[in-house]
Amino acid sequence: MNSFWELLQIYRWSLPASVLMAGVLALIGAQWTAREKSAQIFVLGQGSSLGIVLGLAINLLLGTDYHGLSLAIGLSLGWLTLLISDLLIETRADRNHIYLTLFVFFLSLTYLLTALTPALESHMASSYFGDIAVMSDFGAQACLLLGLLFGGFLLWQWRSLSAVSFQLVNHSFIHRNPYNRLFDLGTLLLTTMAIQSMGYLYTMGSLFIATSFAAQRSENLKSYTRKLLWIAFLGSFLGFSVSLLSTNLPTVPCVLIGQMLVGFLFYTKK
Amino acid sequence: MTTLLQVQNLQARSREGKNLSPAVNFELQEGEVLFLRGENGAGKSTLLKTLLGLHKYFTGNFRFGVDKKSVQYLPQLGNLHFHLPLSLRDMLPAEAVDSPLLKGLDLQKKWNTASGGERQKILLAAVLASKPSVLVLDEPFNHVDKESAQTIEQALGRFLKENPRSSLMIVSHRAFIQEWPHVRFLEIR
Repeated sequence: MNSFWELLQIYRWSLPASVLMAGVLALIGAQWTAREKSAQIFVLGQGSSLGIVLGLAINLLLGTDYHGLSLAIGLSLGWLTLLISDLLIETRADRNHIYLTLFVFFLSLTYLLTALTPALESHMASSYFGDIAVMSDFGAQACLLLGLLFGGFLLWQWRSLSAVSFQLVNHSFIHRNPYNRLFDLGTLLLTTMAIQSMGYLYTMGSLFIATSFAAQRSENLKSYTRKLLWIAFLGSFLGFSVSLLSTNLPTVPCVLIGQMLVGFLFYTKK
Repeated sequence: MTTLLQVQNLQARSREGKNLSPAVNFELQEGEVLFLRGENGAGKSTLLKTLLGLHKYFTGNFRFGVDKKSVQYLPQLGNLHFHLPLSLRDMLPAEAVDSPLLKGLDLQKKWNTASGGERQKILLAAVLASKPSVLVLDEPFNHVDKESAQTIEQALGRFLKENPRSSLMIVSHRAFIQEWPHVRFLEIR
């Protein structure tokens, strides 16, 4: 047990950062799913991933170590993906296969980039499948700070954002809403940061697992939100802790399986 | 009388440039009820969406004489299943909870299991609560039972009476029972 507490000491930043980010991503994912834009955020994530890998490749080629470069290129490509999808794809009724095509295209480019830069292979694996345990203290602290700020904003504007989501799918969103613009920007920033620090798999899983389970048997928005956060926080904490107890268990799959198990418990609970 | 909306030669088009409605000219004055009438597919709903900025392709021009925030819109009621498990109460702003439209409704009921009439009453109560200058309704009586349709019609009549400077633009095939002030008809064909 002592060694477990020692491990918790080592991961004193990455553990709370990953648990908090899981909750914030779950809130983001809930609104995007309600807006019928899950495929769009899936592609946005892959676009950001490509940008992050591109940033790493440039750092390798230049012999530099600017972490901000990956984040900046990740954000730029993510923003470009959002722009393309909002302007050209979103209005089309047959948009899902276009999103999948774009996803495969971005994935191919990421793979090509990795193949051309062999030194990137380990980075590529950690960018894709995630590596929370080796997240830098600075990365974890940045995620904690931004996660707290954006999570607070989401909960403060939760009803209003839910109303916007409803109006968007009901084709009656006629008034510009600055909070909704902030939501879009925050989504881009938080998703890219989560991919850079915790990987694509962790980010996508945390976006969609909690809402898939919580939406089923909730009575109203309040009970749904409570369930959503329980699944994300408790599932991530349990998953992370289990992975610490074994040297063979990778963190990200444990965190995601933890979220699914807690989600399943909530689903079966009357 | 103040002109709330001025429309000149407005014609909705498709992205490819095909006409989706005839060109229309009209003005909407405060306190007026404007009925848009025409066959199915004539372009009534698309014209409304164009005015509201939901349909981007058009020729001609239009100008609202009021802040866009004081315009409210209810589209045709579809069979929308919403991902978030909202109760009917969740969909109402605080100022709408006392609306007579909600009489007898179980507000704990979920949107996804509510009937067409219940859904329309909730949505209408929510938009009326903001006391809009221009209320735009697209077929508000579709998918609504007879009793609910009467309640909705009465609520609209009450709203216009209590807010004599507000105007209503409505697409509807229903023959109204109530006599409303300043009614005009615009044929879309």
